[in-house]
Amino acid sequence: MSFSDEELIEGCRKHDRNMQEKLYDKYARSMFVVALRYVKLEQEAEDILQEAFVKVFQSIGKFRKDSTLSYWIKRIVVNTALNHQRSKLYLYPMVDVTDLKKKGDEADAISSFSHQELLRMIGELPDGCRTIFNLYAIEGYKHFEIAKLLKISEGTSKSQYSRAKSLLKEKLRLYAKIGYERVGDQG
Amino acid sequence: MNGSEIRDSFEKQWQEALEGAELSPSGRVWEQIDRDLANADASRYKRKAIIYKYAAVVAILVAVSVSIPSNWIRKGASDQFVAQKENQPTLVSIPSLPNANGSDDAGANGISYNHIISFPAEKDEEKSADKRVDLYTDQHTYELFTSISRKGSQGLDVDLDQFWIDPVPDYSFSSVVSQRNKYNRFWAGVGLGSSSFDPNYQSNTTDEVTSAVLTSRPHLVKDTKGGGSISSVSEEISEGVNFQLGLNMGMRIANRWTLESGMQYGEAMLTTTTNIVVENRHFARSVPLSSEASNLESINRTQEIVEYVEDDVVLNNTFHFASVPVKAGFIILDKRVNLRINAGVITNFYLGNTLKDPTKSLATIELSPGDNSPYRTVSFSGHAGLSVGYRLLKNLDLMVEPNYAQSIHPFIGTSSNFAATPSGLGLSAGVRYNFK
Repeated sequence: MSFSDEELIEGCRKHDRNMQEKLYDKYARSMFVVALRYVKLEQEAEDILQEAFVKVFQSIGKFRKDSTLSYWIKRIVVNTALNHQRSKLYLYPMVDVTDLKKKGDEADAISSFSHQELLRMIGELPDGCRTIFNLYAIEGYKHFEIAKLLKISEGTSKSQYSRAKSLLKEKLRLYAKIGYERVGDQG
Repeated sequence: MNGSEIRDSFEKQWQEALEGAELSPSGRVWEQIDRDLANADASRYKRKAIIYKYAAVVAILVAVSVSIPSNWIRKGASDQFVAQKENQPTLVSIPSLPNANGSDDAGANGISYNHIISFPAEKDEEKSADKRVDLYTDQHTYELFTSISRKGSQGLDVDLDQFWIDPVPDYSFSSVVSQRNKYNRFWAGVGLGSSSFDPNYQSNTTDEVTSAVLTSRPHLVKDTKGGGSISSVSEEISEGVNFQLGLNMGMRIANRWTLESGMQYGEAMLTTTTNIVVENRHFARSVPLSSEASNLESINRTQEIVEYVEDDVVLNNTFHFASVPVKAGFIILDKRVNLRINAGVITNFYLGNTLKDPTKSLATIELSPGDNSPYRTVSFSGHAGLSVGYRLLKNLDLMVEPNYAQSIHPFIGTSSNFAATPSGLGLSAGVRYNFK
């Protein structure tokens, strides 16, 4: 039996463990991907997921319906991930940039990669680059918002993002090449 | 190309590629969340218990701070009365009084004389005391007089400084004089109560518990996945909340003394933690193992090998009691607001308890009174409280009582390998009807 978000929220507000488990079952898989984008190891992502869902259940009474439940949970997962990352976030010293210029126009066929491959590429980024890439490219934060969130300068956010983007493009090409070689080997 | 254009291409591709992506985390994540939530639930109970504790302490402090000044006021008023008795009416109780015309026929014509007032005023002067006066006798207090007139020497064979209440027919006298509730001899009421419930759980040493729970049962073996060495059993019953509902009745046995009893049903919600879970193919679910459940027939009787695993589990432990309190009370203040100190003994009848896993993944253990129970069917606890009443209606009082209860007789049976002497601070409230 599937429950609507409203029913799940109501059940969770009453600390009904069955409803809490159903809410977890409904959102855990998508939120696990969110957590995975911020860390290198699955174990770390599971720790983030666990901490985030405990926060979700403890603060669900504060949930207002001005956003979707999914978006609200995602924000908690992202914030939890950022808290995990903050302690070890090291941003490589780079020259701050004031504007981003597009350096190329590679038609990166991102959609041709599986989720797991894309997550692996993100996971291979340095911590700082990975966090800023996630916030800017996936979550849709602006650089000044990221700067405020991570207490860095806007230029640092831009330069880190630029580096992340460059590294990812390189990985896209590399992964594509490996993939073609594998396909070729099989043929 | 500006930032937003970049977001429209490269970033958008990433967003779309990862949109709707799902991967299953391992099962341990929910297990850990479940455990965290169970611990949080237990903490919530503990917080509630602490709140009740503080509420009871505050109520006791408020009640004491109200009662002490009121006693001073009473004492002060009494001293003042003595000081001013030359000018104030005082009560002289006379079993039989002549009526107004001086005859000794006190009951004639439906006339009654209940009291006489000593009023050392000037002779021959007509005086009246048209005001509220508290008059105390052995059995009654009247608080309203409409007319106390001095009759001087008119037909009374008493000193001139004595006055009496104007003789009025019984029915009119009743309408003039109102009798206050404290002189209502019997009362009955209903009440609800809540208190902290600290089991003061004392386990034997870990080795002793381990020996009692595991070593003495050769059929219990550790799950091979968990290694071969025997585990250490660790368990605890922690503080919770107790709720009661009951009927009470009482009577005044002397001017300031009361006796009260009744019947209550109570539920104490505690938390038990243990680290051993038993698995048996006869059980539909795994069973948490604790000293409380050490006498479980279902485990003892089985001769086959039963596996156990180490798993920290938090269980809701709900006790059910019926109680019969017998309390003596001393009335401190008996006005519209009344105060009474109560002390007595509560006989507790243990009706059973339930160990329930809030996650519902373990079997629920229900313990009943009897030979297999670690708890005594009958136990006793001492009770002390300060009852604060407020007159809502003519015969109806609202009652609140901060109280403290402490076990004074072993709650745990002699064969158990743990001890518990429950105690708790609480607050009860209710209404009581005073019979005329």
